[in-house]
Amino acid sequence: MIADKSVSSKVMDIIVYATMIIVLVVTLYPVLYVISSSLSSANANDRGLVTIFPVEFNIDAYKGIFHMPTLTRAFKNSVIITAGGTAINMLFTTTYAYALSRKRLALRGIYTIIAMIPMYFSGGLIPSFLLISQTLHLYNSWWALILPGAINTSNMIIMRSFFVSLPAELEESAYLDGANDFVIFFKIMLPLSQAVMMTVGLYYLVGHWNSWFSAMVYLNEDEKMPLQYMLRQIVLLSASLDQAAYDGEIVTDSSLYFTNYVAVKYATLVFSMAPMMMIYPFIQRFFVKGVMIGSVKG
Amino acid sequence: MKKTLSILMAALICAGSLAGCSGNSSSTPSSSTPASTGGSSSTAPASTGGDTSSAPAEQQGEASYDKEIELEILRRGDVPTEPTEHLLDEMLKEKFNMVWKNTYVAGSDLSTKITTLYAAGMEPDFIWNVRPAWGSDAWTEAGYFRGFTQEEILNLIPGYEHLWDSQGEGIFKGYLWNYLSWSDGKIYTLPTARDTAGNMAWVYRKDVFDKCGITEFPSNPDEFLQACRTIKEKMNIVPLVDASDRPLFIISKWGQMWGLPDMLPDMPTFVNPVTGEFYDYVYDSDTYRELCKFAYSIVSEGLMYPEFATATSDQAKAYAALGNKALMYDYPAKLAEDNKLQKDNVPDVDWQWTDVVPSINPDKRSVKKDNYHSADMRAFASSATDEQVERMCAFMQWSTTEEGITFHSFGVEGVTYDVVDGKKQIKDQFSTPLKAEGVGLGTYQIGSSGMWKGSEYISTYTPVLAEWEEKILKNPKNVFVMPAIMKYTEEETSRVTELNTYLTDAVNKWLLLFMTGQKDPGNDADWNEYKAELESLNVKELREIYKTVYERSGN
Repeated sequence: MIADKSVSSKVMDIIVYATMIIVLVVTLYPVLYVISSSLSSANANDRGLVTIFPVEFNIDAYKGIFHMPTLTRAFKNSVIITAGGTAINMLFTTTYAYALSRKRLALRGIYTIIAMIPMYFSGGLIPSFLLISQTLHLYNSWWALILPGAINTSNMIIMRSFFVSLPAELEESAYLDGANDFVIFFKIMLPLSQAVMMTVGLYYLVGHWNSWFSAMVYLNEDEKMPLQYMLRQIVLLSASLDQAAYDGEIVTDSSLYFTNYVAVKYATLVFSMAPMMMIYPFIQRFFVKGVMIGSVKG
Repeated sequence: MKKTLSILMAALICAGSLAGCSGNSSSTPSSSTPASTGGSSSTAPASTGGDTSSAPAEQQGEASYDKEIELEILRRGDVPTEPTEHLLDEMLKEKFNMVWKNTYVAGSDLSTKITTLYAAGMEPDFIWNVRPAWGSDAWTEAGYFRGFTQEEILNLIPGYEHLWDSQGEGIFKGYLWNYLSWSDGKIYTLPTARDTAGNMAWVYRKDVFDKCGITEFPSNPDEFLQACRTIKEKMNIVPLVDASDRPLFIISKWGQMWGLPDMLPDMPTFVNPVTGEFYDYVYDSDTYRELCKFAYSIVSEGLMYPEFATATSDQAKAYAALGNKALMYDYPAKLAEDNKLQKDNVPDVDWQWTDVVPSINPDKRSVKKDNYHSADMRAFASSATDEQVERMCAFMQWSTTEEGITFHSFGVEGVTYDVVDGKKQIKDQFSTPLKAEGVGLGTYQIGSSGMWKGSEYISTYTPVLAEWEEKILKNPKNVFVMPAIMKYTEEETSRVTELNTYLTDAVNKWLLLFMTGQKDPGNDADWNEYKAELESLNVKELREIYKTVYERSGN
């Protein structure tokens, strides 16, 4: 391959590199700021001295977090909900998508419509709550966070598109060799679908990990709350304490606020970001390939 | 075969969807509403029912309760602390044979949680924190809460009658009852007393005042402006630092100098405590115009944090930490925090508070005093049983007694506090408002379940607030703006909310224009343009509604 050394090409390269550097800085700076603030002293945080490096380095905020049993328990809850939820999502999504991708499925159109309707219409919060809590009796259970969203239609369409793109000859030859649908699906189709599975799996994973609203609505006990919900309460703590002062309430449990609220807030953020940041590099090589799969649908 | 299976699967899915849509056994809350002031014949929400005239449990919790009562309670909870000791649970079981199942939700989520639970008929028996701002008025109208007549509630909680005695006699039966009751004569939310009558005052940096030769805190707006100018000139710092995307919040603190309420953003109407005049809409009054002119002077002369309209509170804090900010209307209880913030840059920083109240009327100085009841009120679900109501009320009654107040503020003797020289002292291992180190009393379930902290706790652990009451509350030169009693019908509430949505935006927009000098409040043309915009947004109609409601509400 001959490198293009024309002026326009070089200018284009400069523009591309410059844009990517800007995007990198814009993306990376908040992350570095959050990490640095979490490792800085209360004094440095209050005075706004922290930029991308910690000032007056200390790990008191992290010590405080790991001594909070509520947070470590919430972390464990998030891991369970995310792992279990993603597994169920993948099971239902892949099977549904594969079935829809086969032309020989009778009433395929009706199944497609059944999947598409929730994509455009929703009953809203109250009907959903009534369905999940009253009809399905899932209130105060982690299943309320997992089952209602078991199949995301967009993700299912992405997978269906991929399955459609696989050559039909693979399936035919497998049938000729005596394989049934289950064997074909699990032993041939899924292994070929690593890229799309990693991509869709990542979408589900991040969705579960970041979710707090469903937990707030459907869970009743602190012991079951996920990490993001606890994180939100910590982030809101400052406003809550200000409100208490405004209301004339004497706040006695204010040690969190007085010690280093900003660092604690950001340390909890880092604590919640860390698992996703650790997982992503392993999935990245599949992600770049898989993200284009859904670009040509139908 | 496969086709048959496929048709069967499709039918099952459709049948399942239809089954889920029908025959929902949930009970929805009563749709009846309290009798409106318009004379509607609609019935009031579920009455207390049962024999509420039965004598409550004896005070001091000495009655025995044979049957254990369980209550599901929804309460506002910030970061939940894991209790290491369950003193409250043990006391509830021992004294009242009562078990609480608490669900904690962040304050900002309470509205959503309560709405969804009520919609599904799964409401808790008792809600620990309700406020009009979170929707309690709408919930009351929907029949979610249990109502009580004055006789009923005083029968259940006699301690209510004297809970506000430190601020005057007959407050519960008089002002508070009139303020909280609905047109059917009942209250649906139960008040608790605020820990203090008020907690804000002018705070200032004494080190700056000394260096600038300002010997007394300014006593009127002109002196206030001059003091700010002197500070800027001599110290080269910005004397006023505040930030909000709604500038009304910022100027409301200054508005008291003209007799306007501190709660300006929330009180477009109020009664002038000096003249007795009812302001049916304050934001186009001459008094408000004077305030706008003052605000313009402050900003245009560089006496105010330049980014006041766009900065976050953290940014404002960081700006103050550089040594700016020399006076403010703030909480005296937070002076230690202000000193700590600026200590590194200003080693001799010395924040203090003053009982001086700048005012155009030196003999009738308007001061912010909070309403008698705490912002958070309690409510029983209309589905709560009589037994649950009576048991919980017995607990609340006990909480108004000396024993109960001590428990909720100090805890248990020997466990959380000791008595030293006749005075209660919280043990060293616990944090207090005076000492941040230590574990919170909340880990022992002490501190958030009472009706009032009590004067001993307040004078010991928040002496500045006790001092506030002595110096400000009891100063005969100070007058206090209390919210007017305004009882709206459902239609009026809806219309007022709709009108205020647009009007408040316009008021804030124009205030920003005035403060930044783009429009001049002293210029008649600009001021009339502002008023014209308010007229175009139906401020006249809003005024009429406010007047009508005020006159009807028994003020």
